[in-house]
Amino acid sequence: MSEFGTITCDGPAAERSLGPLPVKVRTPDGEIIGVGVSGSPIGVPPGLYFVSVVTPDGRERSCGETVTVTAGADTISRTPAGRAPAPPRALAPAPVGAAAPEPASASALAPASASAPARIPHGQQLIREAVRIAAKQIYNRMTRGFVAAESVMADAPTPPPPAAPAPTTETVRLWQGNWFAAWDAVPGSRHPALEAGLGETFILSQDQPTQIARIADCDQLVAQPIGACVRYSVVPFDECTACVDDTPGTKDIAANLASGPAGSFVRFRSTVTEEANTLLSFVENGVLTEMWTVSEDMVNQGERAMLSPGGSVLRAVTGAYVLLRANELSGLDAWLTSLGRLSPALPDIPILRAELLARLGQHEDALALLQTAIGGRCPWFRSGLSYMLERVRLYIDVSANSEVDFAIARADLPQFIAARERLDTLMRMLVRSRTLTTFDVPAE
Amino acid sequence: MADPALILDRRAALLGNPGLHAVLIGVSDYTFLPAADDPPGTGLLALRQLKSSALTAMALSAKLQRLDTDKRLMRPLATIRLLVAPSPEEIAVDPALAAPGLVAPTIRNIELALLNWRIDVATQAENQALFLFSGHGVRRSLEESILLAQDFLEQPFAEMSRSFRLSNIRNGMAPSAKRPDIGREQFFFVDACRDKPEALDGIDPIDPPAIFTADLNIYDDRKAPIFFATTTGGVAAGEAGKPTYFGLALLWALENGSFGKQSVAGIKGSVWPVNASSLKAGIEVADALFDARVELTGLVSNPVLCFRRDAPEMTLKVWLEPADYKGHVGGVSMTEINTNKVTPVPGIGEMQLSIPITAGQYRMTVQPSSNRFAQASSEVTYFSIQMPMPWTFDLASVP
Repeated sequence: MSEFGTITCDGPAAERSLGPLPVKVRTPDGEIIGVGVSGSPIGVPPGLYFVSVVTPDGRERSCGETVTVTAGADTISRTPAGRAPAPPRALAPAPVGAAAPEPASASALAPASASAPARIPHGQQLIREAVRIAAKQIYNRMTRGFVAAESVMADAPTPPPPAAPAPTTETVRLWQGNWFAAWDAVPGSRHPALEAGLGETFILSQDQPTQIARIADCDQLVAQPIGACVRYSVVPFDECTACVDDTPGTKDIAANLASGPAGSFVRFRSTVTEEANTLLSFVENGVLTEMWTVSEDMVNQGERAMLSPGGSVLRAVTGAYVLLRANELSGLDAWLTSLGRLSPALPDIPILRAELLARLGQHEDALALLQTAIGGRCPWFRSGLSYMLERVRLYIDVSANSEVDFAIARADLPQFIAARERLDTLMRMLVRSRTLTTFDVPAE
Repeated sequence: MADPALILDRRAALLGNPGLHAVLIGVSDYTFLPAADDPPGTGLLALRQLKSSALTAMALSAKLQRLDTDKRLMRPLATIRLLVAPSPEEIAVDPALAAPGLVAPTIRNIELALLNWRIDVATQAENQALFLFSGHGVRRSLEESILLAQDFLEQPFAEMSRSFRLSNIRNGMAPSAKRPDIGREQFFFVDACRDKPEALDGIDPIDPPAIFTADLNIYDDRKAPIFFATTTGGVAAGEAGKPTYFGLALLWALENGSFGKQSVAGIKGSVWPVNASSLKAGIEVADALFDARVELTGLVSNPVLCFRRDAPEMTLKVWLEPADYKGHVGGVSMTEINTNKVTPVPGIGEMQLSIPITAGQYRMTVQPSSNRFAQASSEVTYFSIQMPMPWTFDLASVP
């Protein structure tokens, strides 16, 4: 019999729909004895443990009180059932301050129209809304209540009705075209003629997602006036990796208006799977070690994860960026190759593979992919743009070093130098606080 | 090769064992820039002298030596190369900054120090490297910054000839055919991107001269995080006579920036490691200026720089909700789970609490002010600097 036992943290249904979440196992004195993801067993020596699950905003939530593990056995640790507003004791009015449940209105997701008619399936809307509410309620479940005792207060203050959030909208436009070529067209200028690529205006809302459909063979960016700049946000798309061949043409993304320290911005979320949004949230919230855990788990599963119900292009590419940033390269080439085969339109693939191969020391192959990348589409992720620039710069520099047996072909060098200048210009406008590629282009 | 910046050398004492090699550059007194109190000039002269950067490098040097004395560095301290250009205010606070023998961070001295530093780091793959630049710099991409030496703008050279690229240093520290055994764990701290005159943005992107000759890496399996201080927009680098805000936060994080107790390969017993991600969180927690504003980039993997044996201190910020329960809270206490020690929290009646604790597992208990309410207890919750604050304790709901 094994000297170890295992713990499987199996959260409630609402959390399970967020996909695998990082799990930590600690001894009573707080020492971390094991880490893993929800739904998968974590091996630990026999003993008494506290188990917690990490939500996408970085908060830890206890999976029950204590867990006793015995050798050779798997112990299921369940996150306590959902916390509810304090229930009235017998015949008592609802206790003071009970949180009002959020309206789970499907109409809240009724999309406005972008360039393509909005078409989030009703079922998916309901699922996502339910997940959003569930995720929010996670924070309300961390504690046991300050419950009204036998004599529920008659003089308790009446809670004010929950204030409806002020609807916030902005008028934006969708830019379509070849983003890199637009900047190459006017070398040296920081103000290319971007107007020609701008489509009709549409409304972007904080509350109601707008669905943007993917148009093949072009970059799409949401153009949003911000002070003396126009903020261009590269529009990603998502599609189910398991059903790419079954449902061609279903590439899209939901866009919301959001606000942060750098002003309002466009938040993109998958309409395919909440698991993609969970991982993206980990990244956007900078929950570093936890997103490594989730990404590693995903890539280690290889094709199985790629073709699972929660598998999606956006989730797969997000995980690849996470692991490349962490320099955890094992299994990544196979992962990216599979992803590129399933979604050849994904612009980040040649960039990611070029960077990966370069780190592995396979510079000739990396150079060929880099050349494809600089003649391709703008990457979805800011890191992709940065990897491109730094690699292009290094390869140009190394080409001038006669001691190194590597050089960009003389005929190709002008293309790389032009790309370096273009990328350097774009990099100065990059909004670094955004994970997905966003530029603040000074208005003319 | 001469090595005038070397202020600490324990290479012989390490008997060939791996160590930590640090190069610390702090530039406050930029010879060719206007004084800190002068009105900003035009173009590149919009940059002015600084008052905290040299002290930052000096303070980090002292901190590394203290950690080494306490045997809390992941690798014993092998070398420190220190290059400082202090302001008069900094010398007044720490006269050691004017000690004879300290080397000024001119571009030539920086180049020499970095070349010597790399030679040391390249002696074995288990070495660690630490690079700090505090001074003026221009951020150019996620992983790139142009860093300005003390003699920046000295004539008759071209504008950027007295500067260097971080990416040139980072790439030059990669394992290569010439340096296959270079230390794989490398920490880069860049405290240099607050002041950004338009003139710097307009500079032609022609590279500053390279310090390391461009070369290609072999399999790059480094753990090499870069920490950028990113507060911008009218924020001073620091108070005169003190390390920069980033420097102070970094010093605090080196002491307290750990997420939790765990076993770490190479260290006997369980410890509280300070690694790349916890260091970032520690810097952000230490000073509200850096709240979610430290950029951690490069090859971020999670190398451990130092550790502590006991749980670090932290401030737990708790909001009791809903706010209109104010007046019904009679007392709050924290029970540390391992020892079962109960500590009352001062500030009865307050709904927003700042509670000094040591990191660990706790249960919070809220006593009502009258018997019309029952006592409320939280689940056992693990508190460390990783926990987003404030932590909310909802008194109005039940499991």
